[in-house]
Amino acid sequence: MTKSKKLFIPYITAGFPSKKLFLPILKTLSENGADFIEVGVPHSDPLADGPTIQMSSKAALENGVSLKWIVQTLRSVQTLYTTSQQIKPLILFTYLNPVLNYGLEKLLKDLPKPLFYGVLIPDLPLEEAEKYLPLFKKYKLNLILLIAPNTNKNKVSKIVKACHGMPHNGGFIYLVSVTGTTGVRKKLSSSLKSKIKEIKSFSDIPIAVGFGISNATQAKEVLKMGADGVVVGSAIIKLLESSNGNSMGKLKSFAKSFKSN
Amino acid sequence: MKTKQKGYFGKFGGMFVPETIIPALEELETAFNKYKKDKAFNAELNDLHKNYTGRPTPLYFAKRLTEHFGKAKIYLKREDLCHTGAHKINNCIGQALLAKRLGKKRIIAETGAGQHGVATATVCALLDLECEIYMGKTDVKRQSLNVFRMELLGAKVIPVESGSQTLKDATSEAIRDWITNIKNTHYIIGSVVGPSPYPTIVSYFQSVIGNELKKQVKKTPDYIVACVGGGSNAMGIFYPYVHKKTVGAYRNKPILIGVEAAGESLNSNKHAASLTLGRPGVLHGSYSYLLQDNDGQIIEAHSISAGLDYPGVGPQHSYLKDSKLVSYHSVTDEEALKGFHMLARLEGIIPALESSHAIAYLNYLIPKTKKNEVVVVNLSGRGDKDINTIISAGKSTLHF
Repeated sequence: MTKSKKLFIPYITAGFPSKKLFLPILKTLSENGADFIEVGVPHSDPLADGPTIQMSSKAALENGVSLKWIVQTLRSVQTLYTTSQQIKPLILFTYLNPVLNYGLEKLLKDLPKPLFYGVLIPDLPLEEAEKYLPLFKKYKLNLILLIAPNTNKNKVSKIVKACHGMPHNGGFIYLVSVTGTTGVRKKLSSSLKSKIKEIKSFSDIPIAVGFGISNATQAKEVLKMGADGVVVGSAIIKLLESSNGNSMGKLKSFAKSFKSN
Repeated sequence: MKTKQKGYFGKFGGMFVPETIIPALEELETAFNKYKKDKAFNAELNDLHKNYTGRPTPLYFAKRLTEHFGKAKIYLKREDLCHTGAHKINNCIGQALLAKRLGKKRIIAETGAGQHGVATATVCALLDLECEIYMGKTDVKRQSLNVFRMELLGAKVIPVESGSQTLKDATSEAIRDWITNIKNTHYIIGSVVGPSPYPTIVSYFQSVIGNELKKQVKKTPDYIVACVGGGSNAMGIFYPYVHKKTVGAYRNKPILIGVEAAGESLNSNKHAASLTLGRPGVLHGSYSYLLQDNDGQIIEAHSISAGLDYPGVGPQHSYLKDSKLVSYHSVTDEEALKGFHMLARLEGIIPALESSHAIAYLNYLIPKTKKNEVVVVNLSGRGDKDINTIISAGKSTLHF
């Protein structure tokens, strides 16, 4: 990944609003500026998520989406999409319990590569993740680690060190913009800039800022603070929820607005 | 019973939470390790236990209940006589005193039956802390008396409308609040669940039950019976008997029995027997037995007792089950109701529906006992809060 390029990383809940739209959504985002896409695995108890992603998670479960279905769907199209690059590299966003049921090693093995670039498990902090890192290395996938606004300097350095041990230096560091769950927020935290600076003092691994970023103006603000990219989730889910019929068109212009940065 | 890895009991436990929570867990663990040895802290805790909670609670010989079965002597550890009506306050006082020392001004908690909510609201009134309680909307309805009590005590009760609208969802919502307000807020978890160090802290503060029992009995009881939802009252009374380095010596005596809620029945998919029928997994920050489907989605629990209506269980219980140090059984809603009436009519004690599960198990246990044996039941709470549930259940279970 080149350092100068700013990353736009949309999040979607797989199978929301419908199973049938899963691949078209990935394609639309890929063609309109996404650099990576986070594919959310729905869970019955999404602890780190606010009301919007909770809603999409519940709807996707009602649509019959499971981790198995996501892996199978993407495996069946991997050749088509990776050779023609119609889908950008994916990051599986999943809570730990579905992974434990699937089997972590089996999952890392089954995820089609290079279509999949990494895995993000919000309820697997470094303390619990350490023992699994060799497995990620073995299957050439990054475990995307999160840093929170209240993560202390010592821990930041440990996280950075763990990233350096992964295939692409962990891909990027996911900096949580606020103490809180996912969801659209009007204001960004004032301490964000100093946190970015702190991480940069340890490493030049790209920093993607997520949680609460909902529009291009906020994205611009974050990039100005020194971040290398933004993750946008709830705003996309809201858009997909409200736009009957023309969801792909709306998604396209929304995604494009981030690329004018 | 701790194993080498920090925060684990065998393979169970851990801290499976978002990074934002980790610093608060570390801060809490440091404070706990410091203050549990601190003279002034313990003096304050002990004074409140004695003069406010009403400890030690009696160990009561249930003469008529004993005569009813005509076998082992049955004793009740009267946690129902604690201030606020259940053992929950033992943990709340301890944690609130810790929160004060951490400089936290705001307390949040989840509640199922409302007992933990009431205990938290009580302690917050006492110690001048802001208090918000998350409670599933279903539980708000079936435990309306406790909702009113919490509000009288100055707490704000927030009905949770997600998921099954019971204890599981109240816990999730409390965790989300904590992630958001981590700097000024302490989360008083009500059971031996959640990420490390909570199971350790809660069982430590509840161990006052077992430690008192040890002093109150002349010889080691043959059996100790407690109900298990998350499992805090059971951990409290089992504590001194499992926290021995020479665990082997305790294998035979006392026989420790945890009683889960079998709901409508174990075959019905409407139960809360996570140890009996669950598989290990991660919910609310720890690895433990869970009711879940093949995809790892959590299955909604069911129990007539709101306090046992939880699809998980504390990681220590998972460890105690696998290592066979405690045996776990279950009784149905109907059996629990019969247990409720049995205690009310024979002893003049109206037990909580949670505790009624432990009482109901006596129907299975006592016939196998001998006259010279001693059985202790942890009567974890009183049943006033359950009157509405009892009324709607009708009188069919009156004949025990």
